[in-house]
Formats: sequence, structure tokens, C-alpha cells
Amino acid sequence: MNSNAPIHHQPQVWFGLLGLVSLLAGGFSFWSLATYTHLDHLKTSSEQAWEELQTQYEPRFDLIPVYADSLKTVYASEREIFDYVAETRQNYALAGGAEARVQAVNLLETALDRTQTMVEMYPALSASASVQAVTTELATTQQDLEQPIANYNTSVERYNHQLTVSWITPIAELFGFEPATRMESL
Amino acid sequence: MTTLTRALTLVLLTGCLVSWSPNWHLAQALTVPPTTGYVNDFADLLEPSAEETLETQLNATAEKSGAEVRVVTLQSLEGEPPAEVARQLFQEWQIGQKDQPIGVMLLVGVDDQALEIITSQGDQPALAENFKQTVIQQKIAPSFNSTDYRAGIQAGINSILLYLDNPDSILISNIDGTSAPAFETVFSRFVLVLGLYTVLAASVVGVASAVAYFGRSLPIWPASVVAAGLGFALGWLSQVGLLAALVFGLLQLGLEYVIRSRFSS
Repeated sequence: MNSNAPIHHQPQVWFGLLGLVSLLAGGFSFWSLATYTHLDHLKTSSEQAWEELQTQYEPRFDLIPVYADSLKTVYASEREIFDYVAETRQNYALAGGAEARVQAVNLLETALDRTQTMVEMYPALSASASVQAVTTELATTQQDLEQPIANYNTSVERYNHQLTVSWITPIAELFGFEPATRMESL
Repeated sequence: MTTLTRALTLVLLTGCLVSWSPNWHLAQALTVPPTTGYVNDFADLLEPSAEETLETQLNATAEKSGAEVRVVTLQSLEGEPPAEVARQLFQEWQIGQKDQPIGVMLLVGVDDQALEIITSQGDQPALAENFKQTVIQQKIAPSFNSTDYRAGIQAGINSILLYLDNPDSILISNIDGTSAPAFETVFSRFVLVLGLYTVLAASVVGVASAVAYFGRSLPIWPASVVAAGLGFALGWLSQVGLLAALVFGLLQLGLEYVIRSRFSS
């Protein structure tokens, strides 16, 4: 028997290898695509929840300049201080995409909260009838937003939780899925 | 060596040592005044009412977030770098030191035309450098150029507070609040999905070929039916079950014919 003769592999070896490699590659790609679809679906759900919330947020958003103007009218000498809340509103108006808008709303609400703290410190501001009227309207919009915010945060938590699951995390990183921002309570 | 010579040498040596000390020159050039609160308008740029408003705003900030934001105006920095002056003030006033909340200072040196935003050396993350420069150039400097110091300082403080509220916000990276569309992310995701579908399709052909080869002694239809069923199950996830069943079934059938014609059982 000549040991230097070329080895001709049997076709069954090649087909066996082909089947094994295809099975592994197919399994991996299917798992990746299924995970991607799952995450994309959750992300879309949270964005839809945001769209609903955003629609209901508009009345509150429209009240911000009215609020800032009423404060500036009472406290005209230092009107620039109220530009803080106006700037955060501008941020919101310019923000593109759901994620940027949620962050902008969180900033806007922090600015509003801080401005209201200022108002409480100045009796002239808190006593003003126009300021009181807008403050009441703001409180009403706050109540209207409680349920939409809860719905949005629930969908965000579901999505964010999936990103932390060990067998999903590598695929999420591969596709560049980032955690979504929760909406702070008003 | 006489006593007088020794005394003179001692005085000279002491003088040299003291002048080498890093703080000596500053201590000599700039006397650190005691702090007057969150607003320290030593150069008298602000009206008392403006000072009071800023003081209230910064006091509210400290109460809410713990961040100590100070406004300091000095007539002259005596030629010292603003960062060094700020460091000395932070130290003397015990602001933003280790284990303390973050300290941020908006420092104005009138004669030196110095305008800086400086963060303390505590454990907290500092303000991003590009953010500071943007605030100075876009928010403060325009008002300062028209000598409206109050408006400039207030605009700068507003931006700093905005940043401190949410330093991770993607809006902060651009002070105007616009965010660029993530085209690269969308494109690379599309390429990745396309690539994975290609691998999946190739794998299906590979598995189908192997099945057709090893099952060539069996009747032709069972593998095709199984393939169609598998195609339906996979396609059902994407709501194209029937189409996938048809494609998978026909693919298996075709491969069965090709492989059976080339490899006898």
C-alpha cells in the first residue's frame, strides 16, 4: 500500500461537514435575527407609548411660555432668570427622536420644578393672579399625564430589562441597542 | 563666618524656600477674600437685585441637587491663571473638596478680561470642556461684549444648571439641543441584518444539501415536506409562513433531484 497516495475524501465527509457547519451558522444567525426582532419590537412599543404621551404632553408644553411670561411680567427687573425654563423648552422643540425628546422633557420638568421653588421664595410672584392661574393649569395637565407616563415607563422597563438578560446582551450590543430613558414623574 | 553673615544667609535661604512654594506667589499677589455666598461680586458688576436673584437660584440648586455653583467676579486676577485663582478660592472656601458635592465656579476677571468656568477637584465628574467653551462663547461673551454683565452671567448660570441637571443628556453635547440623526447606526444595523439573512439562507441550502445527500436512499417527498413545514414555522415569525413553506419545500425538492442525479445511493 502506497502511503504517499493522495487522500480522496468520501463525499459523505464533505456533506457531513457542510451539514454541521450550516447547522451551526444557521442556528447562530436565526438566534441573532430572532433576538433582534424581539428587541426591535420592544423598542418600537416604547416609542409608540412615547408618541401617545407626547400628544398628551403638548398642552403642558404650550403652557411653559405663558408661565415664563407671567413670571417675567411680575419680576421684570430680573427676567433673564426665567430664560432657564424657556431654554429647556427650546431644547424639547429642537430634539429629534423619541430618546432625545424624553431627555428634553426630563430637563424641562426639572427646570420647571426649580422655577416653582423660586416662585415659592418670592411672595410677589406666588401672590400674582396670573402666575397662580397658570400654576393651576399646570397642575391639571400634571394629573392628566400620570397614566400615560406610567404606561411609557412600563414599556421602557420591559425593554431595558431585556437588554440586561445574559443571552440577549451580546446581540443587543452587536446591533447597538441602547437603554431607553425613563420619564421622571412630574 | 560671623553671626551677621549667618543671619543674612538664613534670611536669604528662607526667602528662596518660601518663594519656591507654589502658593506663595498667589498668596502674595491675590488676597483671598471671604466668601459672601453663592454670588461673590467683588468687582461690583451686578445690581443688588440681580445678586439677590442669582443667590436665590443657586441656593435652590444647592438644596435640590447639592451642587455648589458660585459666581465670582474680581477686578483683577493679578496676572494669575484663572484656574489657579479658582483652585485657591475652592480651597480657602472649602467648596467641592474630596467627598464633597461638586463645586462649579463662573469666574470673571474684569481687568484681565478673563472668563472661565471651573469645576472643583472633588470626586464628581467635571463639566465637559467643549461644553464650557460653548457656554462661554455662545451664552456669556455676547452679553459681556455689550457690557451687559448681568445677562451674560445669568445665561451662563442657566446653561450650567441645565448641564448639572442631566450631564448624560445627549442634548447637552450640543448646546442648541439638536441631535444628529444616527445614520451610521441605522446603516450598520441594516448591513448586519442583511448579512445574517444571507448566512441564514446559505445555511438552509447547506443543511438541505446534506439532508438530500444522506437521505437519497429514501423516497423524495418526506424531506421536502419536512422542509416546507420548517419553512412555515420560521416564516410564521415574520408573517410570511406560506411563502417560506413554498420556498423551503421547492428548494429541498430541487436539491433532492440534483444530488440524486450526481450521487447514486
